[in-house]
Amino acid sequence: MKPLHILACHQCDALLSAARDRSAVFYCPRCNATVLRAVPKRLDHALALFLAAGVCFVLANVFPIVAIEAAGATVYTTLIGAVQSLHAESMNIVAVVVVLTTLVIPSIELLCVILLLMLAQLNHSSWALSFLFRVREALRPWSMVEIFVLGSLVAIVKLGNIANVVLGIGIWSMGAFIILSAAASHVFDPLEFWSEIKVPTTRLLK
Amino acid sequence: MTKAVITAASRGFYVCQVCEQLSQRVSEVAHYCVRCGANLHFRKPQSLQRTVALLVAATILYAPANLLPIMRTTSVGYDQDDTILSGIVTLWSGPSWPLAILVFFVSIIVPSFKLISLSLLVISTHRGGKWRLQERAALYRAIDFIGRWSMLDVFVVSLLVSLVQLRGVASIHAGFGAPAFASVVVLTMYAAQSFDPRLMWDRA
Ligand SMILES: [Zn+2]
Ligand SMILES: [Zn+2]
Repeated sequence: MKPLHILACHQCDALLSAARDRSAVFYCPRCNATVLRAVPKRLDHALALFLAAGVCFVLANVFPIVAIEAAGATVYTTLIGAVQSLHAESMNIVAVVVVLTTLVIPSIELLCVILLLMLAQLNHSSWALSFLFRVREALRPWSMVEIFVLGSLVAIVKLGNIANVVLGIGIWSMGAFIILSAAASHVFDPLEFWSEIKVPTTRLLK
Repeated sequence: MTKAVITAASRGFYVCQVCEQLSQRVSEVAHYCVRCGANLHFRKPQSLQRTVALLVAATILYAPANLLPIMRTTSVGYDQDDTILSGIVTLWSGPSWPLAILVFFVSIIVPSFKLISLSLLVISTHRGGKWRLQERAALYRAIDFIGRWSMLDVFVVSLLVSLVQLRGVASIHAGFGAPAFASVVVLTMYAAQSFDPRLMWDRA
């Protein structure tokens, strides 16, 4: 058996042998973790989607997220504005968590994946490629834009009976960012990116 | 007894945690993945100790996170302190009960479920054995997947604090429950990441 056809489950370490097949998703027969997902290689599609997501992310940070009209005044907030208010209240731990999870980490993650896909188009296999890949993988769980959008929805509902709430361009851009990056991640499967085994099925080695 | 499953580690193979490339161990020196350059370990280093330390820290902060107010609403003639739970009660009796259920799930159920299940996973892994291995594996994946959503309330408070600053009419300020709660979420996420699910299969 060729070494290329052997892989290990990242959840339970079982050694698995892989055979080429047309099945779309493969689960570990021992612990049921998803081991490989066979997605056709369309890195240029993924790049286009991530670039579009990048544009939306910039818009989401430039324009207001929500505004309230109450007592004759209109108050609006942006993502940065929310972080500044927290800092002004001496809630620095919360300010740092919010700015990291909704602004800094998503930006770095997006930059990494865009650069990565551009380098991959040039067939540049270098340490830069793997460095960008590792940074992105480490940051992914800490990018929380979609949770922030759900939080905005809850905040809007809570304010509904106090003031008139107006949705800003920022929140629509965030919504578009989430949809586009989800679509892009679906096309760009990180494991498939590295793996030369495209459509495997496997069995446990005994 | 069925024949034991062969693991990558038992055959001297490292599995890259980033790109899943298998590499053969050749000597005692530190190893790096040939494909992506990540550090290689057979198992996450000090997995159980780190998980326990982070769980203890999270458990200590769990009380202030739930008991201290996360925000204070100041309006003409009255102040109202809201904890995580009282905020949910207000949402339930007021504008939207479906959202109240959602917030209750991610802010109350998920953090406590995470603390209890991770402790259970650490204890059962430390003791070893085959008890409900498949269920424990699924439990770990569920915790790892859902944990980040608990950050929801932190974002809600951030937006409310930033928006409701109507001088002389109403204003909302963050309370010390907010940093405690944010810390619990971050610590439990790190705890879940530090736990190595392969250990429970090793010790089965
Ligand atoms: Zn497995
Ligand atoms: Zn690697």
